[in-house]
Amino acid sequence: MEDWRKIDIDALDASSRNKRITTKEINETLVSRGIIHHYSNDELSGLITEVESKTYAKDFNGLFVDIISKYPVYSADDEGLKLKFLTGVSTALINCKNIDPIINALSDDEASILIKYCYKIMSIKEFQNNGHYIVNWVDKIIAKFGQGIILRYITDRRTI
Amino acid sequence: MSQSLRPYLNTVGASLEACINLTNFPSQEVERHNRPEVEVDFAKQSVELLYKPIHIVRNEYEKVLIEPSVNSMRMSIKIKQSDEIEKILVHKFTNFLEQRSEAFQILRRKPISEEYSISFLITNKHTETMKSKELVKFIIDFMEEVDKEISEMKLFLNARARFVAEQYLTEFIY
Amino acid sequence: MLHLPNENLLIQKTLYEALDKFQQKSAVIIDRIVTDFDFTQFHLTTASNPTNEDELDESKIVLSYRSKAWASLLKCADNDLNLLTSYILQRLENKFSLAPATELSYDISIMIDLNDLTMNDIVQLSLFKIHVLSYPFTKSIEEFKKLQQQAIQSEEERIIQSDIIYHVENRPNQEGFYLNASSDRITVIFNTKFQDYNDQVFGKVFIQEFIDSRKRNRAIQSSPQVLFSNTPPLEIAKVCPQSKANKNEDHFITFVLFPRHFENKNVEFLTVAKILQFRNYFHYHIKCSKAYLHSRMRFRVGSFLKVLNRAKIEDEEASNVKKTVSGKKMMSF
Repeated sequence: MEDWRKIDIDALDASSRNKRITTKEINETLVSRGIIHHYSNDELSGLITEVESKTYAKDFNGLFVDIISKYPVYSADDEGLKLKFLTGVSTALINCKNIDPIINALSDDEASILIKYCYKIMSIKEFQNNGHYIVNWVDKIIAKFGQGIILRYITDRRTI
Repeated sequence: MSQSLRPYLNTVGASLEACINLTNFPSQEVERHNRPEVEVDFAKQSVELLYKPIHIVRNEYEKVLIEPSVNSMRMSIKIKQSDEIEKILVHKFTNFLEQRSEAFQILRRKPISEEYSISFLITNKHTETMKSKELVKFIIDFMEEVDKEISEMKLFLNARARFVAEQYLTEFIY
Repeated sequence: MLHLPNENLLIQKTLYEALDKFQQKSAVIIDRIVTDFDFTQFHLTTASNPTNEDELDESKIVLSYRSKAWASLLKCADNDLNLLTSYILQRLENKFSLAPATELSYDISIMIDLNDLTMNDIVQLSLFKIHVLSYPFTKSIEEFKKLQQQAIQSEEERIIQSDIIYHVENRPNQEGFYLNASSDRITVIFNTKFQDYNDQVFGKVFIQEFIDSRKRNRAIQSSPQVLFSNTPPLEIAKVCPQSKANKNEDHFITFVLFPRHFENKNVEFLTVAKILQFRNYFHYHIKCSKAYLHSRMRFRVGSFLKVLNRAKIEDEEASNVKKTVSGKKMMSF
């Protein structure tokens, strides 16, 4: 490298490297590069209505395979609205009694998204009372897709 | 065994097995240091070395948190404690274990927060000297046994109290 | 050991040995301090010669008694020391007299003459503490009998309750018991406290069993009724102010004694002795359970450790090393 004199040595200093990258920053970068979709309030509200109506109609197959694991809400404007969306997903997961056919209909990538929702829901205090329903889902997903799905979950930077 | 316990333990076991892939990784911040990355002070953590934590929750009283990283993983368990007696027993029992953490090696001296009863810290050093499958088995075994032990001790206490009371009152029968 | 014995074994042993040696004409000089539950202390000494202070009279022993309860017992006797001491001497069948002087810092001293000490006397002396503390019980029983007569004489059927409440404080921190008679029963209320939060929780389990076991087990239905509350029961509410600092600290355990529990002298003695042992029995068994759980946990920790050790990778080398008969290591390559 001829221009080695021009290397900004300060930028490589340990103290500037120490800056912690937050999940939010990662999300913003991913959104700005167009890797993940950022949901506006209107879009998310639409999604919520759809989730709720499908839950009401007990169309769980359509709900999980066609909506939840196809349109992951990685990034959204309003955190409150996102929580409402998660509540909808959680209710659907709890109420769905026939799990196996849904899991069998999922592709690898779709299952990866669904398991993200499961883990996310379990990490929120409000939903913890019904944890065993969600655990049941996770158990079945792992049984079908193997441990790889957990590895993909812990390493994926696209987070719900 | 209760119906929902099996999936819970299965999930924990599978998650642990997935997260226990640890490798030697010297600190990139401090020269000649080699520290478990999950234990590094929050403000100084390098995000690229940490993986997404996993919450596995059966209900409010029984949950597990797994925090994986490149060279170490931390696992915290909340042991079921449904009344004051169980609370005391769990507290005593975990204290007992923590005092012997030297012998247990993978046991953390303190749980990571008030929310959990006990924490384990597994580093690449441990997986190099111990079989990771067996370590996972140990933790699952521990979770199963601890619940059993606590409820047995509680039953003992009630039975003992009943016996003692009856024996005392029998003395008044003339 | 399930039951705590009523007798003080150390007093029994000391007196028995002294008597034995005395009868063999080789009397020994005694100076022994004996302690008992509830901060009770006894002092057994060889008496000094009444004519010459410096000489000892080996045929006589002074038994001195000291207890936290003495002050409140005196109160029960209207601060009449003679009344209380004569009651105690009478309980010992008037076989002993007071020592010429009460020993310093003790509450009562009595003189024991080895020349006519019988085995029964020794047993009675070893029950000294119970005899002393039985004073308010005897008073209450007298009162009960009076009220019972009154109730029979008065035509209308109603229960007459005595306004006299005997309070004995035999432990620090206001721990003690209360006695109240009425025309059909005598109520004994213990006030007990727990230093330790864990003891308090364990205590609750035990108390609950005391309350329930009587209902559950038909065989013991004629035992005294047991009640529990955190606030002073009505009977004693006016003499026992509720501690404001910590409501959960006070534990009031009530025993209701019915006439059948003191229908004759023998039964009365057994009841009183048993009731007096209650606090010690109760706390003793809480401690025992804790000790058991402790050792159980210790054992469990050991078994967990064994499971963990199974995970260790055996040294590759170790499998090559074999030991010879003499214990030397032998390597095979």
